[in-house]
Amino acid sequence: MLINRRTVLKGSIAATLAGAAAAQMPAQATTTPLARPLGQTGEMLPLVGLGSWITFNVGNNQKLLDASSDVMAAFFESGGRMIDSSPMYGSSQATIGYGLKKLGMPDALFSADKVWTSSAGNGGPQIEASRGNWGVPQFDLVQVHNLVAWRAHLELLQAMKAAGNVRYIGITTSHGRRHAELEDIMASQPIDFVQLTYNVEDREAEQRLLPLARERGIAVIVNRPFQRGYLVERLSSSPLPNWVAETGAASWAQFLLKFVISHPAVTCAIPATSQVEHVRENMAAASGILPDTALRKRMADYVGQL
Amino acid sequence: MAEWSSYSLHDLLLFSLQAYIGLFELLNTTLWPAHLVTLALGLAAATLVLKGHRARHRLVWTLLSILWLWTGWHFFHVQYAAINWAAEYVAVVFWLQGLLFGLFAMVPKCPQISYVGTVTDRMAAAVYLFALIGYPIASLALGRSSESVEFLGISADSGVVATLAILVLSRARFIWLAWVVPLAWCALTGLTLWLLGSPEFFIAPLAAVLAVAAAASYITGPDSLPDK
Ligand SMILES: NC(=O)c1ccc[n+]([C@@H]2O[C@H](COP(=O)([O-])OP(=O)(O)OC[C@H]3O[C@@H](n4cnc5c(N)ncnc54)[C@H](OP(=O)(O)O)[C@@H]3O)[C@@H](O)[C@H]2O)c1
Repeated sequence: MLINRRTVLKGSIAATLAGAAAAQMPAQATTTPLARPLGQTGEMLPLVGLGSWITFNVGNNQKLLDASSDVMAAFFESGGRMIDSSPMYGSSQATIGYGLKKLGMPDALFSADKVWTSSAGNGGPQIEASRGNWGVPQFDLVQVHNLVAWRAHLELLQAMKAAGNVRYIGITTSHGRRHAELEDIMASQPIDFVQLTYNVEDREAEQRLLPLARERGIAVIVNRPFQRGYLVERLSSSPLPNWVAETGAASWAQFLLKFVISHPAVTCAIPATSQVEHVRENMAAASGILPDTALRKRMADYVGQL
Repeated sequence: MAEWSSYSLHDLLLFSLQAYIGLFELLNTTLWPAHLVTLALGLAAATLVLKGHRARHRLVWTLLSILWLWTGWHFFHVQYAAINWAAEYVAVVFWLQGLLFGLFAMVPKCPQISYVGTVTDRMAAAVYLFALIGYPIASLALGRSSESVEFLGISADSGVVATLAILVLSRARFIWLAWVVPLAWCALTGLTLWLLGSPEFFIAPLAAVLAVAAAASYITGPDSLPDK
């Protein structure tokens, strides 16, 4: 029974994928991950992206810069598109810029950055400096980081979008902070994306934010799918239940990602990693079967008992 | 309030241990062979103090001033700030400390630095020697690679510990002002390494505790000398 429902779910995503996404997958991609459409636009985004907090903040160390660009190469080879960063993340933007240049600026890239300054006037120059660090002509998505000075920044982002200087705009939070305020913003502001923390243990977003995002056609980016690595580390001492094998999840990281991306309101989870094997493993979570509601409950219950 | 309580100390870290160690690898490759110069200057300062050279007071404060100004500029502003924007603020604090030592070197009643061989003096000498040579050895023993160990004048920690040893030998009571930043740095670097999961986290705080213990015996014990 479960299998049947999951198979149907898989079939519906794959069908959307076949129709709209095939043309958008990068030429060098060797696999095609499951994808979902972005709001009402019809543009497809693979269910797993790449974060850059800590992992890509490597300064000027050449060895680590090259290791980061290897991670990016593996990400694009696995069909990845969205990379997320922020001016708050030290040298991460510059590391991404280095990797993109080395990889010949892959067409598949979906660039997501943030504006993070309490001064309304600094927003524009900061976004321009970030763009320079990435070396892209413009960002696909700019988000207001952690709701900082969000009224002024959202006004700026709307003007940028109207002028064709950014394709999508959004707002972020994490660790479950300021959900009530975020809900008001989602209900009242014309945003394309919202980014929030959601994982098998931090599930507050399921109550109001994820249903609201579906209702309003707002795409959802999920940060901290592994609670900054802590969840994978903690669960690794427990056995992976064999009943998830049928979804294709072969590790705890894939179990956790499958839980996140199988929520129908989620557009993309953005785990960060400094390791090529991990990025491949994470991207592979966006393949096979996605758990249905019953299996998702079983997964959450199982982790809850550990 | 509720929002702040959702942050943990780990959330304040912007970089991984790998990136932090990568910073020292980069410093060692780009600055070599400056390590030999800083070591020679460190030994020269020690010789001036041990021999009781008349010019030692102003010369040693001048060297310390240069060390702190240079560390603030190169280590914090040029290198560390690439992975930690807060390093820009620490750079300013190091510059202020460098200016304070510059002031010590210039004022007519220059704070004295003397080694008279008491137990406290020997403790200070041991801390100083540790900053010069022991620091890299201890790091190696605790698992750092030879490319990434920290040296006096190349990164911050060993220079700060050497400074504490000199402050012990300076004896002047009003000099407590000069202790604040080195002690705060020892605590901060220890905390950073601890949060990053490095086994070396205790080295600088331990050296700071030894220096404070040594200084306390000067201030309260029979070694206490009047300010000159
Ligand atoms: N307010 C905001 O806007 C906000 C807040 C938080 C995060 N974010 C974004 O969301 C992204 C993700 O969140 P996060 O980085 O905090 O946490 P995360 O993605 O939950 O966890 C990252 C950690 O998981 C480990 N990891 C990744 N893949 C793994 C695998 N397959 N197996 C085992 N371990 C694995 C990584 O270590 P290795 O390097 O060893 O793989 C890394 O330390 C961030 O990078 C950032 O872009 C945004």
